Amino acid sequence: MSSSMKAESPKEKTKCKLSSDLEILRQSPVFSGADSEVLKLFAYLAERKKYKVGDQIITEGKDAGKAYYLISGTAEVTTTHRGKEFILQQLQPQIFFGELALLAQFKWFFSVHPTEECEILEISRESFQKILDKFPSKREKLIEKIIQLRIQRLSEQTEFMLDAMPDSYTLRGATSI
Amino acid sequence: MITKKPLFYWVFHKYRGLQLFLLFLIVVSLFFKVYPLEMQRKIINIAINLKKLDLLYLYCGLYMGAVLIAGLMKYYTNVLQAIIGEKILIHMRRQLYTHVLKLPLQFFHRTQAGIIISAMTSELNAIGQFLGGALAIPIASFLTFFTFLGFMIYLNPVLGIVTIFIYPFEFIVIPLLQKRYNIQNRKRVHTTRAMANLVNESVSGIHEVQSNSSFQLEQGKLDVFIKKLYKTMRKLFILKYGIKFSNNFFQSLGPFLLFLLGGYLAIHGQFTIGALVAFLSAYEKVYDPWKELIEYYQMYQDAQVRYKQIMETFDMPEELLIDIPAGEKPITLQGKIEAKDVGFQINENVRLLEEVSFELEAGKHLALIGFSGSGKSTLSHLISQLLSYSEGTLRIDDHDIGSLSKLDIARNISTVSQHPFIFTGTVNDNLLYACEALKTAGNIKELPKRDEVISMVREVGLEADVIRWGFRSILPSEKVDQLADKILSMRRIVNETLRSDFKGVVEFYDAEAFLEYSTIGQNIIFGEYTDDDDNSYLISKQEFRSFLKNAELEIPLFELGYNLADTTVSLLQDMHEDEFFFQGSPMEPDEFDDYAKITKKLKKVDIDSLKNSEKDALLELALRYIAGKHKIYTIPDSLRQTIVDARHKFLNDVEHVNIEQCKDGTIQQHIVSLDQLNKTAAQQNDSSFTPFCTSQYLHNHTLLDNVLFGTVIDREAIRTQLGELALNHFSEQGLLDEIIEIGLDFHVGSKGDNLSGGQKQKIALARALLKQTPLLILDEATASLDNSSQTRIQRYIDSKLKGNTTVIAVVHRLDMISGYDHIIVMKAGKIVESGTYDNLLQERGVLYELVNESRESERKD
Repeated sequence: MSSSMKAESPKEKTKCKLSSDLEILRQSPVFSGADSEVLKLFAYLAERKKYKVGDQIITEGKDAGKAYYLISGTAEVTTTHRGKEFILQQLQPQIFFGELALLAQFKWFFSVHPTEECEILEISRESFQKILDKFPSKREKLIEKIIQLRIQRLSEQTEFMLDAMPDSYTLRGATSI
Repeated sequence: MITKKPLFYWVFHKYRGLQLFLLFLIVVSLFFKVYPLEMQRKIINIAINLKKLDLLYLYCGLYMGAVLIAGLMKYYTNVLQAIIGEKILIHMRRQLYTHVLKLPLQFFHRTQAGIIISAMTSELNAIGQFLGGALAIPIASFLTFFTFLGFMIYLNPVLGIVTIFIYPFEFIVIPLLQKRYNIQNRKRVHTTRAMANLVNESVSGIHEVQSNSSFQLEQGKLDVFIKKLYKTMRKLFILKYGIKFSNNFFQSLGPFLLFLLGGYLAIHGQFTIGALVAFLSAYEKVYDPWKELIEYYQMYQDAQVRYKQIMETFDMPEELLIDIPAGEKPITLQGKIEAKDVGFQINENVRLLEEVSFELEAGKHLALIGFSGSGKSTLSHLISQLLSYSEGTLRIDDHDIGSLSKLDIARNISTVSQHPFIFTGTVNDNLLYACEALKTAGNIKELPKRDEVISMVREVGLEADVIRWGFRSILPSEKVDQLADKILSMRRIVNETLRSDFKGVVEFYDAEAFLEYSTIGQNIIFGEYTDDDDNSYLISKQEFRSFLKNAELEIPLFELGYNLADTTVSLLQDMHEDEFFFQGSPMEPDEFDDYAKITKKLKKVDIDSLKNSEKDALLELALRYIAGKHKIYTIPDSLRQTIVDARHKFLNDVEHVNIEQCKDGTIQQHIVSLDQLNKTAAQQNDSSFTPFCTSQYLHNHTLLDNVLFGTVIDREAIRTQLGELALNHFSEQGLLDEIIEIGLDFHVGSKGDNLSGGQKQKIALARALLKQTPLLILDEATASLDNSSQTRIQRYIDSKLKGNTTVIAVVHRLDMISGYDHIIVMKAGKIVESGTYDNLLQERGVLYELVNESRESERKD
């Protein structure tokens, strides 16, 4: 009886949610280097959600509490300025967003909504902090990765916006930057 | 004032009759203490000497009787003494608590909560023990002492007087040691308190400690006290056992002298053996009251030290005029405010307010604005009497604010602060807190009616939250009887019109499908047993267990239980003390060790060698498992199908429910059969079964589960969607108030832990507004609310309170102030501008600049 118990799980074809989320996280830029022990806890505490077109994933002005990883589908990042809505970025699968919410409390300064049905893995700040409290030595590395990701995002968005700007904004022609 | 009363005030003024009675008992018991000694002498000198057996029996009987009576009386006096102490303590604690609550706010700013708590609880307990015998013990001890001494002198004056001479030495040595002991003891109390404070501080600030990783810093702080405490305790024990040693020494010095002198006299025939024995016993007994006196002295010193420290902590005059002076009627104010050259300073150098003057007609609204630290909050505190102004005059109507009693202030002024305090209890308790206080003080006769409370909940924008709490509660059965029909009609609405909208957000109970968001237990029985919310009934039910065996479910469920236990134990090994990590597992933190033991055992032995209780534990874990929620393990598809198949067998064979009839909507027929079923169940004194059937109310499920006839998958989504769609239907049915009423019984947790900042703020606002006072003070009362809630509440203030309530609002957001009648701009404790909104804007002064700045930054956002 006990032998059948132990043999059972690998034989099963049912895909285990925990291990599939673990795989997803392992391939993500922030968590790629982390220990599997830590990663397993992140996968365990992460929540998988589906969003339809018309839903809001992130709403500007609300308290930020989670980071998101887009598994499938596409979404767009927008912000409202002087009553008008601007698109900042298009999100493709396998991208992290809202990662700053893991580090600090703030109100979202942008919105994200799906442009087609999305599947998303969400990690709350509380989970993130609680796990790192148990593994304080991993904290620094993860925070560094998050900041790097943020800088990369910033430059991408700046580029995206500069592309959209009329040429009259250019100071000294196209050659010098 | 209570803090000026000496310790013995309580002894002399409380329960004097009882204390006298206690003393009387002790005096009577003296006789029974001496009598056995006399018997001892007679037994040896008369009965044994004359060899008379009948006398021996008589004297021994008398001896035993006296000893027994003395023992029983001692027992009774001990109990009585403790009771007197506790009775006195009741008075002391009540008076002290009343005093503490009325102390000025400054006291609470500079005194740590830990000190107040330990003073009110443990420290006072120690004093109570002393108080009971404070009078009786010393008097009784002296009497006993002299009685025995008298007896000794009566036996032999020379020997008696010699033995007394040992005592003066004790009178000198022991108090000397005791004095030094007391000094150390005082140090101990001090250090322990400081340590308690420090621990309290780092525990309350644990976020800060952990986020700064300041463990060593905090440890270092504690180390200082640990070392100090060690040194004090070391000295304390050296002294304590020093006292003990000298006591023992002096005690054995007595017999030495007795045998030497008494023996000499006996050999020379001047002293009988019987008298020597009685003398020895008496000498031992003389020591008892002496010991009691020393103990008493120690307790007295200890109690005195504690008492002094407690009273010093709270030694501060209470706020002036708590109650309305005798003979005067409570004042009802109109709300006109007049300030003339008002100033406030905390000490010689720090002035927080200077020369503040303004007038405000009753019913007008005043906004106080300015930079932080400008004194606007201080000014509002002066008006609500939380602080007392030090210069000028500040009057409401024609009463000086300082001359108003606290009760008058409470009757007339409501205050909402930026970080309101929420008490442990229900939402309703908190909403009615202010009114309840007035009612207890006899100021109002009745609390606001249900409808008033509900409409106030709407006004402050708390309705949606309260409805949500209502939906989340499991109704008490008397409510179910009232509302079941209405709830079932709501269920029909949801089923007929909203089903498609809720797809993906709600998992409806479907007899043919595996329910991802219900427990395995519910998946099997597809229903519930009354009073069985933890499966314990199910597990103990013999029919169910044999059903599991027959349906070949038992072994798969044991396996599931084992897998759940094993994965949880291995993943959470290092973090099982934190409840947070158990969100994805059906295991509870306190069960971790038990399951760890079971899984360890199962790695070595077969499941059949487990104890029944261990098997039950595995089964329980499996039955509790919710596939969609407990991510720790994923249930195999094959087992899902087995469970759904077994479900039909269970309903048919065990509970004899025809689930097809549920689906057909042939409901009437079903209810009849179910009623019969319930009756037979009741006869068997059994828990009754309710299937997931659209016609049945589910008693163990929340209101929301019942209305949806399913389980909520996505709380966020149901919040927005249910708000829009369902509420309209329900309010048409007139059911919304019922749900709000249920939601008002939601438990807010300790200090409101279950609430968000905004919810706390709204509750505080409603609490203040329900009091309906002529004056309302808002100290950035809407600061933690979102924009629409702020606007909503501002609209209520502008429209409903104008003309009947004087409002003084410290306002942070400048777009909220245009509705105010008067605006005061403050800077560094002084008024820099004062006037109407329009006038001030025209003058293009400070307000104009501030408003423009904020608009500017708004635009940039």
